Amino acid sequence: MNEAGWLHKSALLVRKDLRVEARGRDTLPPMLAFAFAVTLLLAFTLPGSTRLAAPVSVPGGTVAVVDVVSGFLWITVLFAGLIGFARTFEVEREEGAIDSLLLVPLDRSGLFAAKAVANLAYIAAVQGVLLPTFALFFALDLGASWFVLVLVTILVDLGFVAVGTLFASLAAQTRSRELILPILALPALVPVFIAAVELTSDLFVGGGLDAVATRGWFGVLIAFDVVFMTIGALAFEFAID
Amino acid sequence: MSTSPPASSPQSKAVAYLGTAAWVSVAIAVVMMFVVAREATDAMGGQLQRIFYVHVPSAWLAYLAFAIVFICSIAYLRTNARRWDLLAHSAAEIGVVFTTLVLITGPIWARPVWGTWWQWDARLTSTLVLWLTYVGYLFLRGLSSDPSRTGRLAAIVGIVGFFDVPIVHYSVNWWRTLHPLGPTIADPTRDSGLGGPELITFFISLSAFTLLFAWLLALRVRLGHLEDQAAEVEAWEDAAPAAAPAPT
Amino acid sequence: MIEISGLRVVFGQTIALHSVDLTIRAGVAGLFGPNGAGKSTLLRVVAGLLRPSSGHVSVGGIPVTSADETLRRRIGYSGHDSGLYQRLSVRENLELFAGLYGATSTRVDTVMQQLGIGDRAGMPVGRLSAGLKRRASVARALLHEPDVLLLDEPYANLDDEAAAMMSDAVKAWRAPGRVALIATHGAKRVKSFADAGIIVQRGRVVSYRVRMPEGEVATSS
Repeated sequence: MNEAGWLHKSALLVRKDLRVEARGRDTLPPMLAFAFAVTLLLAFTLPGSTRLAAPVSVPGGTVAVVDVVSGFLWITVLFAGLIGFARTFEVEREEGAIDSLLLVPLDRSGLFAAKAVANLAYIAAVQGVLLPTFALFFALDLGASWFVLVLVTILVDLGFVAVGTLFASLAAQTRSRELILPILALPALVPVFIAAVELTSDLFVGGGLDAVATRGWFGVLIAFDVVFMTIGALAFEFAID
Repeated sequence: MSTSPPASSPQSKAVAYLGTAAWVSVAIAVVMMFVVAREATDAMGGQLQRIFYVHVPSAWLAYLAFAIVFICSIAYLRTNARRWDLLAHSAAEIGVVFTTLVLITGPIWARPVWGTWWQWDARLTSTLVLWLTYVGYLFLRGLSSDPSRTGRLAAIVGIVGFFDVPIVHYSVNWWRTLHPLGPTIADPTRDSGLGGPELITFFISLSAFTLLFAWLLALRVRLGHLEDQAAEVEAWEDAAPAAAPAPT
Repeated sequence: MIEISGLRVVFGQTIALHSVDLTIRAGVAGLFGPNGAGKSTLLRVVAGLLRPSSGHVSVGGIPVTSADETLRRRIGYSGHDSGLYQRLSVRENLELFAGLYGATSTRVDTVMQQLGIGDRAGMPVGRLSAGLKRRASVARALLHEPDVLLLDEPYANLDDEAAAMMSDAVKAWRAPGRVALIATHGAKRVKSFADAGIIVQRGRVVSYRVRMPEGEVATSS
């Protein structure tokens, strides 16, 4: 038999997940609906978008509205993501598909990578809708630095899906999947979240790549991504066996 | 199958001695805190500074507890031996207790001295995240739908938490150093200016709390063993009617 | 091939398997016994899907708990659930697993034809009847021509014609050195072609019978 490699098999599994999602639409539409509803509510809570530089008082001083907007953006992403990630293993639970999957001659890291990539596709789709919506509602003008935001988003997403997928596999084996996932994932995601908010608010006030690159937050993101993609790939074996 | 000594065994005696030693030394530490250690400067809170003889050892023991969780979690995943899981679980529970103590004693001191209960500085924030992480760990243990897999699931959280907290500490530290919003907080242990009697008090307090920790851990592990045995006995009794030797 | 010694499986307060010792070198063995006897548990342990509480289980000398990829390639398992994706068609499911096992598309056609599900190839598994799901599930287990075939109630919800197809598919798969464990509470269908019968009751192997005089199938307890 001519057996395919790790990458090919993992890709088959990603295609399977996306195909199942395309048929059932169980994950992405709820994520999008949630993200959009939250954005709408947030738009009501903030002062008019013409006053983005206006100070808002927070504990310990004041910040500009624009800093709050970047926090709002990432909170929305975080929660929309966790809603979707909680369903990661739902398709495997139906009719014991997970058993067939576990017997396949593929390293567990391949199963993890496939699930993480499917989640990455979902969260990227949400962001693809959410970022323009935010830009519209809050009159954000990124100018030429939009590609920096894309770069930041990619780095954030890698760590986010690594942690989200690993913890979703644990949460799937508990009695309250949707509840336990945020409890586990949110504390772990604090560094990613801080870095994302910091970088994004710099971009929102007009900083370009050179301005944000010197801040060192990319280092935090890359370190987090590397650490948690590695842990996820290694620990997944114990999470599902 | 777990084996645990009966109540009067040498091991349970050792636990009892450990408990006595822990409480005696805690009593000594409390006396020293108020009698031997001198009042601190007003900048450190005067009388209130004495809370640090509880606060700092608690923080150390919380870190020790979570380090134990980390090591035992790895050992459990590697060996699948129940004793590692039990030790990790026990250490996590006690670690959460000590972290809670840190998070309560800290603000009590901070309110009069800093003028605020809470500051989002690196140490405070990362301690809070630490607490949340291991509260999540305990939640997961409680909510697992398959008892035979609980240990493996929890072990992963124990390992992830151990890697996450330094990154949290580092990133929060960086975040606040770059964006000072309020008064910068000096490292309280470094600037405490402990003299001879205070240092002695501190180390006695640290030893006393460590003994207390060891005793609690031993008790908790014993309790876990007993629970395991009770479950074994119940399972055996349930199965007893079916246990008649089969004809072959 | 399959070696089990001192196997014990405990679920919380219930003991599913007490102390099972069993050696099966080759051939097709029927696993008989009432519901809840521990047949499914035994199959799941041999497949490596369930960790024994104590005891040793190995297939071809490799412990089933080792998560060894070459070992997994040799095992074909169809459990109580179909183990297929409900929203994908029969063919999509089989093609997926063919890709994961490195089996060819021709092989997909072969197993579908053997089990008589070729005309339902385009139907989502979720819309199939229970009997057709079972056949599709066994087709998946046979896809990569495993050396060890583990089937849990393959005859459930099958009419006589479909049951004959099922038996024929297993007979077609049968080859020297290969071993199958087929759990079923209605022993009739397996007995006609099995080399050995193992009776499980209340978590114990209570009796076994070997048909082949050469003793190619041997059990011990």
